[in-house]
Amino acid sequence: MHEGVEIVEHTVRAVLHDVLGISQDRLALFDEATPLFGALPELDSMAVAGLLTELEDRLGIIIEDDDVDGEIFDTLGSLVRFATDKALG
Amino acid sequence: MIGQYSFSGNSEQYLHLGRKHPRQILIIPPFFEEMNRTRWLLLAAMRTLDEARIGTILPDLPGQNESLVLDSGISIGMWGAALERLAAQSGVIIDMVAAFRSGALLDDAVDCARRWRMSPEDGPDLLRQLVRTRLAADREAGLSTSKALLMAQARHENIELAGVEMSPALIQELENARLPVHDEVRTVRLEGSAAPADTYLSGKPLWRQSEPEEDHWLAQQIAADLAGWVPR
Repeated sequence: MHEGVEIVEHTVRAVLHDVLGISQDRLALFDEATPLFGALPELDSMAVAGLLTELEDRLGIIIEDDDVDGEIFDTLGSLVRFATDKALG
Repeated sequence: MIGQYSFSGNSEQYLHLGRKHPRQILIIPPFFEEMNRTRWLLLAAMRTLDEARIGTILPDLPGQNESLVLDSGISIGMWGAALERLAAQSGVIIDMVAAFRSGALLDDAVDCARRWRMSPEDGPDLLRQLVRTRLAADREAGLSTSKALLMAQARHENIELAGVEMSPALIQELENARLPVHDEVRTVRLEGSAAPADTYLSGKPLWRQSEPEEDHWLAQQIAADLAGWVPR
């Protein structure tokens, strides 16, 4: 895996832990296909906003709200891909 | 002790720990939901400072916490004036202002030698987060909306953002609110933040958690950093 992608995935996992309070044990079982929105009770609309902003702060990126649709939060893989596109271009 | 200060015909509460201590810090909490989420953290840091013989004041801003003022009457200018009144009525001299998050927008309201900020946030950043929360809620409810439409509405009528009814006047203030500039200001952030700071503390952004953890270690680090920066 590209080193940059690995760093982004690490950051996304850290944000899921820090913002949503998902334990490291649970996170260890997450893979690319793990569903997020609708599957994680922690991920409500307030949490979605906090998660996006925290990703911006940690990756030094700007996320346009009009670019955000529900599909980004479908799975861990889709969220990592979205963040990677923003962070690495 | 819980004290009362009067502002604009209302009685507002503040918490004052260690009012006889030689040094006094005024704490400005974050605005809106983040205020609730950080209350435990602020109180824990205040108790540690009390043991170190440093007094702290934590006010309720009008419209926040126990205040009876309606959300729609909130403005940044009114909050600044309220802090000025509180400082005058507190019976102590404020040596330092310590502001958390958006609270830093108000840290020029009171005269003092030094300022301290934790993860400060300006008006546009705060507004962005509030709008983002509303957009996420609308999406979840199956409503189609856009940032531009929401902002156009917010500029001419009261709208609800993240559980708070906000007036067009407040929206306009937030759109233009920059962090005050000071000579003596220390900024701390959390490890992992990409933004510049004087030091980084280890811990999670409790203000983003819907059910914040009680992080004693973070509270201790905050108290220690404040104690090291308060003027002697």
